[in-house]
Amino acid sequence: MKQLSVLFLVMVFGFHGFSQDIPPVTDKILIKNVSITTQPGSTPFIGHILIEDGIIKDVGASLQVPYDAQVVSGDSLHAYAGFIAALSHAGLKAPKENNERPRVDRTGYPPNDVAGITPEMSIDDAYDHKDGSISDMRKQGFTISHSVPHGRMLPGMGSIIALNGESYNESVIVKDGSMFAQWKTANRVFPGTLIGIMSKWRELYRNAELTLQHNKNYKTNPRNRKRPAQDAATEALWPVVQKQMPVFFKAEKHRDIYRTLQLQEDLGFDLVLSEAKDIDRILGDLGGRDVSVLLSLDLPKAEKKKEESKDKKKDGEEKKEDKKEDAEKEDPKMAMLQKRKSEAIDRYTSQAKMMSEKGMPVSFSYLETKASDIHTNIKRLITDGLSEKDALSALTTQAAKSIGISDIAGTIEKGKLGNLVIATKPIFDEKSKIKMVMIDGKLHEYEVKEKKKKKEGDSEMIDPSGTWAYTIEIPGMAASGTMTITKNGEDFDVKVTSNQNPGEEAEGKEVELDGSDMSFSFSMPAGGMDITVQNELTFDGDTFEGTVSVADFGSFDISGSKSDPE
Amino acid sequence: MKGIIIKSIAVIVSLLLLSDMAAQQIAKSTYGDVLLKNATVHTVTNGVMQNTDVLISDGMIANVGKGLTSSSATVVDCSDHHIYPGFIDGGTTLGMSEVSAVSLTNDFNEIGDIIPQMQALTAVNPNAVAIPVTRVNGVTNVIVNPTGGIFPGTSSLINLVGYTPAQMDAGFKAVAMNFPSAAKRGRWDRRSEEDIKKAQEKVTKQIDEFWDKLTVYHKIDSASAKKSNAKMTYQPEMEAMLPVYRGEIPLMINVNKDKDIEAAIAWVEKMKIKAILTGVSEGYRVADKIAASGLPVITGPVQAIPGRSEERYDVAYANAGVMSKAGVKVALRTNDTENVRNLPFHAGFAAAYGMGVDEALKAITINPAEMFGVADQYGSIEKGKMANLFVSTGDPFEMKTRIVHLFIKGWKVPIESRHTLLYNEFLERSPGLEEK
Amino acid sequence: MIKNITLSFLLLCSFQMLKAQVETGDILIKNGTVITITDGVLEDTDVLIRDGKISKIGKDLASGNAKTIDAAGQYVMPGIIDAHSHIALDVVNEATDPNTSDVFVGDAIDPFDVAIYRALAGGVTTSHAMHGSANAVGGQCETIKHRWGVSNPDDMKMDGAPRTIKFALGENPMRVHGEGNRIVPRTRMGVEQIFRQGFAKAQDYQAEWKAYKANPAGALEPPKYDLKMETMSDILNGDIIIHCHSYRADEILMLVDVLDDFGVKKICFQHVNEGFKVAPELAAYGAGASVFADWWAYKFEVYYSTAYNATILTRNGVVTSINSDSGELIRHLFHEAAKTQRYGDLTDNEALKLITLNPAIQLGIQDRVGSIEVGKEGDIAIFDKHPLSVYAIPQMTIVDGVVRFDIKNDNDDVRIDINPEEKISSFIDHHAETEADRCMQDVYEYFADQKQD
Repeated sequence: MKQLSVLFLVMVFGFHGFSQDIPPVTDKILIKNVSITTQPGSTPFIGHILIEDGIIKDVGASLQVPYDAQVVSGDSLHAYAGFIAALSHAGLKAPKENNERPRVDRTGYPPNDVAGITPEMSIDDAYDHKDGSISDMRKQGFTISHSVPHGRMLPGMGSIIALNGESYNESVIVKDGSMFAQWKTANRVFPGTLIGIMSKWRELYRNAELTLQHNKNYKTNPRNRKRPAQDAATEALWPVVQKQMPVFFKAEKHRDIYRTLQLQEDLGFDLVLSEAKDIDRILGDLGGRDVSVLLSLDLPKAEKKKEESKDKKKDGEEKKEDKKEDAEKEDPKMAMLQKRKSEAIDRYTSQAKMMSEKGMPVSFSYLETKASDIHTNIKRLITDGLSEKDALSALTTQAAKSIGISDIAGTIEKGKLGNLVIATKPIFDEKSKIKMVMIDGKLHEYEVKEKKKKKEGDSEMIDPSGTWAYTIEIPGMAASGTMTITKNGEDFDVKVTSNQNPGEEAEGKEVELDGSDMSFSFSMPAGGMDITVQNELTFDGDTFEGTVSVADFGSFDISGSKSDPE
Repeated sequence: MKGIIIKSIAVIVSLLLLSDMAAQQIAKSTYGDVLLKNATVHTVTNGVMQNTDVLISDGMIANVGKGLTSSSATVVDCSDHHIYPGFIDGGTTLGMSEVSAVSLTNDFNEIGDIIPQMQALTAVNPNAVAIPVTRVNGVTNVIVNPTGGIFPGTSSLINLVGYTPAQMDAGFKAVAMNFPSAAKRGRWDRRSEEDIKKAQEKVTKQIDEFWDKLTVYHKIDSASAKKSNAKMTYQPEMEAMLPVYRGEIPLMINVNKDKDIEAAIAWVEKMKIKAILTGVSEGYRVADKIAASGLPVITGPVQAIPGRSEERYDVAYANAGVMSKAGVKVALRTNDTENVRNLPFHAGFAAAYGMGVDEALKAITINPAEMFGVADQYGSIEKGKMANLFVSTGDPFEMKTRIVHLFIKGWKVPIESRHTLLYNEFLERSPGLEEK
Repeated sequence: MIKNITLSFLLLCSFQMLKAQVETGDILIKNGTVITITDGVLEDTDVLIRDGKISKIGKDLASGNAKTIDAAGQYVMPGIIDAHSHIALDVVNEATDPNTSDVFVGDAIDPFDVAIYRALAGGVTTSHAMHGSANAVGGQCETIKHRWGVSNPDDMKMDGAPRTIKFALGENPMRVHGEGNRIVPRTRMGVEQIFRQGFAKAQDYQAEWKAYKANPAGALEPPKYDLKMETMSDILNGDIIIHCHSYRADEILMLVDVLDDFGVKKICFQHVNEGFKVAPELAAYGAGASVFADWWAYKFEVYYSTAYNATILTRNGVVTSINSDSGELIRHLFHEAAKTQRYGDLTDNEALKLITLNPAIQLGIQDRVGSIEVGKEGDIAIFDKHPLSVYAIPQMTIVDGVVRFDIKNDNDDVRIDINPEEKISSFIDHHAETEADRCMQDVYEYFADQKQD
């Protein structure tokens, strides 16, 4: 496994070395004959978009084509304003989870960095422009991210960055414009619980107010006054107590949301409730006020659709399974519990709809969502009642508004940033694929693979048992091996080996088969931490294709074929 | 008649004197023939008999009837009082732990998964402070259980009187077993469903392997019994399990989750062994299946919270009653150490929540006695049985009722414990507040 | 590249939570045997609740538009009060320091804890949600009313109830800090010093702020705002009632001495298993005692206990209550109180006082709850038999005139919040749980890596 992990590190860190960066010939680009949706709710029209020096110069059904522009055909394509992540960790690697108790003299008074109190931190140092999270988000159409650091209760300040994959200085749009906070405790030192976090907030905030006042006094007249002591953490909170800097507070479940509101009420800072998962219970308590809320896109797992082909003839074994399921359905107690769970899932996927029904603008945060799940999950919200207009605004105008950049981003408009998403179909169409993403006038193109048509009755479960040879497509690298799938009762066991490292084997976890789609993950140690490799495969006869993704590193295409065809 | 009165006054006076002189010291039990006169006798097996006498002689119930006389017996007037057979708790660690937070006083959980040779009776401290505390509430017998692992040892039925294990032994033993479970072990069990399932499978495999070896051991042992020169390696686990394998003593299988209960029933049927199910907190979900299996059940504690968050708040209170109504033979247990004294209250709760007072009484008297094969000695007020009984001012499940006399194996046990002694000393403390 | 835009994140608004709106109701309970606690037992009597408050007690009362409940043949008593519990809390112990007076468990209320409903099904309408006993000076506690069904945690709080704080003596703070963190206290000597130090520093802190405020604005550097010192000061000022986890007689007397030295009067000892040994001293100081009915011997400091504790304390004039400290016991506190009639000779009224008026006194809410009196809050528990009978089954529980539990209308699955990521049903084997002293919740995990067995 050691070598397999080395392989992954190489493939991850070596990635960019292989793509040669030839600068563009011109800084004028014209997207021609593309269906343009200038902003949420506006009627699409076929027209052209001219971008010059990273800024949208002109938009219209007919416009002058400068002779020195690179013309990109937009035939049968659909253009939208580049998506904006109002809150994410893009560009910032998650630190290794450390469950060891830190060694401190007094557990009640650990140093601030151990306690997780570093509001003075900017993301500038930690920002890694080669981090896979940036390209992953970009691939989904995101052009700008309000990125905040990882950490504990007060990890630091957020910056707004262009997802162009350049260094922090080349990407930053707004530096240190927000404060990020969350309900994450220190590790068995203070604050070790959320009530400790509440108390620490109250104390820090009051002291920030006091020291701010004293510093002002001292500045006006230092004579006969004690020199104020320096303290980075409290000073970093000065803009917050003066309401010049909003706090993006990650609060997922409703009790954390209440606690956040309680703190806001006690202390009075400007608040953006972030990564909210069940906000509906508090909508009443908000009394219909306008509240900045960023909904989480980390939705509960959708339930597998029950077999529709029950009346289809099946072999004996499957019939038995059906019977078993029926028996459970017939147990009214279990049926009721199942119903309650389904309702709970529906409640979570209806949050966006409920918000917009209350007239509250919807936007999202992306702290907990895998990039590749974003579009699937937005479509679930749309299925459960969120309008496409509101969904688009959540990705563009509203996101821009919630981080204060409406003036420069969020719509396709003259003078705004040359940030575009260009898709093969209307963006929320089931089959829509993102073909191009433009950031600051620079085009990033994606190969659009037509997914093989699924056969009739594709919900039918296939049996992928067997030995499969796989190849992972990493530019300039070979990563291949075998994958052995064995049926184990109703479940499947998966074992993965690598040709680059014979003799080692990883075991698949959370193996799930849905129709002809299989997902599983396996973990392996790499560089002192465990990395989890997530696999999403679609089988078609004796071949499969799909993606493998590695947290923080990005995702890659994988394909395979059966090495022991029947 | 006069003589009788004088005699009983003498007994009372001497008891009073004793307790006064021996502060912080429980008085000695006394032995002798005693005639309990004019009581309401709750025989359990023969209904309730009014104005009836019970004669205790030589440690046994010598007679039950009206107008009994005895020249040798001390006569105790029990008018307005009730006589009940001593209560039996079907599962405790009484005497096996003195102070549970002090680990070196804990003697119920030995190292090892398969250690049926560990004897609970060995670890019972006859002088444990909790024993008198327990018996003054009418509990005369308890099962003492080893815990942990898969086969943690051999349980015993004991009498709550005596200074040696031999004196306490009530003549029943069973090997304890914790059936492999798919349940979370309490609120702090953070294992994933997958890990729990794996752990369960691992334990099941361990049991299967052990049982295969046991089968071989049984064969060789049976064969070698006929041959004098046969020699077998010393295997205490196998030796301890042989009586279970051969159906000579039961296996007490601790199992709680509904599906686990079903699996345990199937396993017992496959192994063709004698078994008693214990715990069985989800018995109400599979009561018919348990009844069909014919296996007896020792359930409890009755005062417990539901094992599932969606279940009705009173399922634990009602569990014993549901099983008993379905036709299961049910006994109760507290599963406690220092508060086994609450057994009658657990029975009271079971009674209120559907079991009824009569069945609840049986569940802590004759039912366990029958399960343990000792119904000829324990579990009811009948001539010829062991004199394990008490005299109370009323329904012993009820809170205000007092136990006034207690007999275990014919020993008249004082109604005293650390708790009563401290009460006597401190109700009116002297010196009091005055600084003298 | 666009840089240096002077962008402040534009926010739509700042907002405030709407203050909790407590639902109240109108109910007429007819023809019950009314156990008032303060005015005897009234046969065949009606109790009328209007707008959540008891407005009339008497015969043949008119209902008006109030919902009528027939309690003929049933027993109507004040809602039961538990002076020590840890239900409805997401966090019990902030076990990181011997003094955590800066934290409030009121910040961690979980209104969806099913234990609340289960407590209601045992007639309990009010409980004292306490911080745990890991620290000598623990966190501040919250008195809650069991308004099952609300989702705003604030709606659970008993608005206006006096502030309370948890203190703890003996083994738990010694184990967590002395043995676990290797800091003071490792002994009962150290425990005493935590209190003395806390109070003495708070006196200095008060002086510092007084001086600061006495000077013109901005003249002095402001003292550091310290929430612990704020809380300790509030205790010195008599604004907070101490509820102290304690067992041994000697440590109880120690705290009484410390408090006497600092002029602190409001103290209720919790558990206080050896309280019976110093009952005269407790009575003389005016300290309360909130005890278990019969828990003992699970650790060394409760080895010399007696179930007659409540009786001895009561007879010596100590205001005594019986508490649960457990999600199980809280469901039958009436039964726990009845144990004082097996272990002792309390009258029915004395026994019931242990779970009604007396805990109310200890929480400083006796003017609002704890008895059936006109003007008090409409918190009622109705039983089919006398509540001190082992066979009594709670029938209905009313909070602020709103029926929160009705045995005839029990819906088995009462959960409000369902986690969509969890299995539809899973069984927890509570018997397999090792000795679960809820007071030490959240601390077990602290020690998980240090366990030796």
